[in-house]
Amino acid sequence: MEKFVNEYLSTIDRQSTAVPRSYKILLFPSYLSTPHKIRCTISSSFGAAIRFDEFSAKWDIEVSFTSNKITEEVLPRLSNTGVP
Amino acid sequence: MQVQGADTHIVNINFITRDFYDRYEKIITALSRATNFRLDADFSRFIDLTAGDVRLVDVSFAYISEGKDTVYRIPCLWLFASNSSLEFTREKARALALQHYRSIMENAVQTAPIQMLSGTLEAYEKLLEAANLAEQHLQTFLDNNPILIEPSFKGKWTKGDLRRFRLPEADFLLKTSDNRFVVVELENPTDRLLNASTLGPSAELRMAETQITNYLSDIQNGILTYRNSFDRDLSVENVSGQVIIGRSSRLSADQKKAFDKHVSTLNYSVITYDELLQRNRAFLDNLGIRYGGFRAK
Repeated sequence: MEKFVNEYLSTIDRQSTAVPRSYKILLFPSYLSTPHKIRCTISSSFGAAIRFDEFSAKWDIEVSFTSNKITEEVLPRLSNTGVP
Repeated sequence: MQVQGADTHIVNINFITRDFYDRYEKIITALSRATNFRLDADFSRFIDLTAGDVRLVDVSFAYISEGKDTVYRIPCLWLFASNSSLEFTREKARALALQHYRSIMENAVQTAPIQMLSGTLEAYEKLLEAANLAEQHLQTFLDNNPILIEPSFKGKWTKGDLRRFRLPEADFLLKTSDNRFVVVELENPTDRLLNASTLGPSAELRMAETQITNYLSDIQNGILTYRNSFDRDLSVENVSGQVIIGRSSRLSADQKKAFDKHVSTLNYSVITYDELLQRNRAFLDNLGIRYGGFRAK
């Protein structure tokens, strides 16, 4: 998963070498124009997720595993009354 | 919402639980420019990922948990239906990156001119606020961004170009899309605009006015030569002058009135560096009113 994310980011970087940095910040979504902390989650039951989180000095990738279904793991889940 | 297939993306949405929304409805509807989704407490029910992948870009979540308000934003949450290593190869990563890059650039082509103008204007505003601001800094900036002087310009000649054509050596000559020519003379932002005691034009302003008058009269006197040697569209009627000088933000209300009155009598335009900013800001605001607000990323 880490290799996948690194390859994805370096391909975007290679493609955009001709775009000046000041324009890149304007044109690209923030998660692709500035380094972020990235949390990858792989579910053993269903799916996987890559979450671009807060800004970071450099790209920082972390991988974890879960047995929950991926949407249940990475999205907030509360009861209907708003209480966990 | 059932998601199937590749490259689905959901942008700029607030996912808000019903109880949170009910509590803060007024604030949310007044301040939010994103789409607000009010939903039951289980967020995972909103996205039923059955195949492919979905990217949630610039999404926010707001809910009440254990009596406490919780609000946070995620720059991007990329969800995949598969967990197979075959779906996360380098080749797949490259293919997805290329696909996303193309989509960003296609989108950028449609919004870039306005976003760039907005960015340029911000940079100009910062430059005006800089300590030790010199004429040379503004000259370089406006040389790179003549759109701020004349939004419909389609050609620009600098002092060096004008020298080669033996035209009067103003700072720039701009040609507009409707074949008008604007001779631009940039003066120092620190130049005084008015004489403090008489409220008449200052010596620096007088000098700039003499300079632009001479440039315009030189072009008009040599119009036949310049039409042949420079541009066939040039004529006495379609050449105008533009002086940019000083800072109106440093004038009192009375001084500003006196300055406006003086420049209204001239047959060329004189504006300050602050007025140039205001003019472009108004232009962007008008575009925003007509075509919707612009969001800085």
